[in-house]
Amino acid sequence: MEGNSDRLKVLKCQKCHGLFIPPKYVCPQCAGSQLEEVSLSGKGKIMTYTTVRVAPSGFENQVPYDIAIIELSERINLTARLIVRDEEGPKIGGEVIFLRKEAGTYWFESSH
Amino acid sequence: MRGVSIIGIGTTRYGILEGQSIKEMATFACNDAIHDAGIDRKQIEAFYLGNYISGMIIRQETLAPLVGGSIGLRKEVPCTKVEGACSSASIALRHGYLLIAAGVYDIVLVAGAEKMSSAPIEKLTASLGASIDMETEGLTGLTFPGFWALMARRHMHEFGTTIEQLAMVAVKNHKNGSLNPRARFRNIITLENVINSRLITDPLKLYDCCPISDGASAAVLCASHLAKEFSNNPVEIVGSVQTTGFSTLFEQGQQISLPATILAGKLAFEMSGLKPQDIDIVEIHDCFTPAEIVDSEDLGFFEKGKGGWAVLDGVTQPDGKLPINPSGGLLCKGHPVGATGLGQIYEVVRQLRDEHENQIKGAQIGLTHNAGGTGAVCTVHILKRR
Repeated sequence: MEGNSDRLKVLKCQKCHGLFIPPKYVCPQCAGSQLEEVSLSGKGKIMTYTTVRVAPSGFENQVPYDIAIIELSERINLTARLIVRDEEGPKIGGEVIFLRKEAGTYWFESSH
Repeated sequence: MRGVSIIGIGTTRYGILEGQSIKEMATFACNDAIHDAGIDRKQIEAFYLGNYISGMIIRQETLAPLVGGSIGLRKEVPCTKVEGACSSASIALRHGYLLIAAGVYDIVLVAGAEKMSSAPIEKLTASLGASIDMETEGLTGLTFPGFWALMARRHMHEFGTTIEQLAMVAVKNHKNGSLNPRARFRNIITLENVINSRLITDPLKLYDCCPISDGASAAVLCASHLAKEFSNNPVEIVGSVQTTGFSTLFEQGQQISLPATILAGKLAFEMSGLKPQDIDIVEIHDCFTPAEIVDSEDLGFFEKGKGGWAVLDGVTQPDGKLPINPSGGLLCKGHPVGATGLGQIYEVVRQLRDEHENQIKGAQIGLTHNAGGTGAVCTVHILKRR
């Protein structure tokens, strides 16, 4: 369910209950093979961020763009594209909320 | 396990080597190392070659037999390419080391080579970025400068590391590299030059990033008990470690360390029976200015968070307590990705033979740190004058 789904889904190992960003083919913690999709709150905080100004091929038309490492409130990290609506720009510790997953990329925006 | 020594080193200059193919550069470096060792090429029993992106950039694969044939190795000699992004050449070195240590061979040639300058920047950025997991983080448009920008910003937030401290790494390494005839850049730069250079990915500027370069480097390895037959100044490999980290940034802890570097440093010190304070010179993988700071902490030379201050206080200058990157490092000497690990070895061996253009007086023990990709791979070697 990619595209317009507004729920952030990750994988949960049924054996050790570890949470992982998909795809995972076995659990890297316990080698368990039963990984089930679960929905998260989609809320998180910015751990760190940058603005890419020199892009790889395929992204040239998007510069400059913001990328952040987000710590979700369920204590799992992911790398995401960030949409910042404040004039001041992103801040470490700033609250963000999940927008969508598109072509494998997570998009978040500042939540205020 | 038997002792292993380096009896010969060879390299091209690093930089824009216009008109020189990867085969030509690798042949030159290998030949240089064979001559330096004073061996007959027929004595070489195996060849390992490190390379990262020749397939993507110049459409040349199966490089090891290509180069082996070019330098005239015997047809009984296995020629094998190894790949671990920026660590590729150090992995080649370690394979040679292991086979001699295990008693399989007595003499092995190892090399690394990369041809980068012929490709456009977007293609290079995409190819270099291909060592990020392309099923997750690689899809976001994250680049390697971006990876280190994320690390830098978190490090600044946690420890108060400053833009000036980052810039000082580039200033120091350019001053060192200005003395090195193998370096891509030979000019001294100022703090203002770095801080006022073009923004690449906040907070990193152009001079915070290592330059795209061509180059090849090589070494001849020999069982230590035979080394004196060929060389009167062999250098012993007393630590050789390769570890595995993560292929993304989001999976590695707090974005202030590379776990693969922490582990590789620890294991290399255990293997050699040495401590960080025993090391006289270090060549660190300074692909970006924050990398030198973060890595110098992860290797145990400075307390976590203090690396930036060490640079500012001059501790890592050639006349400081722990000279880091007296060669100019990747930032100034250049970073032909698949060659860099053996380029670092080349520089340290010259130091331990008292032959370096930026000689650190009395250097007895040197360490090289060569991280691959996102820290998915890390190699550390410790070399000692015999």
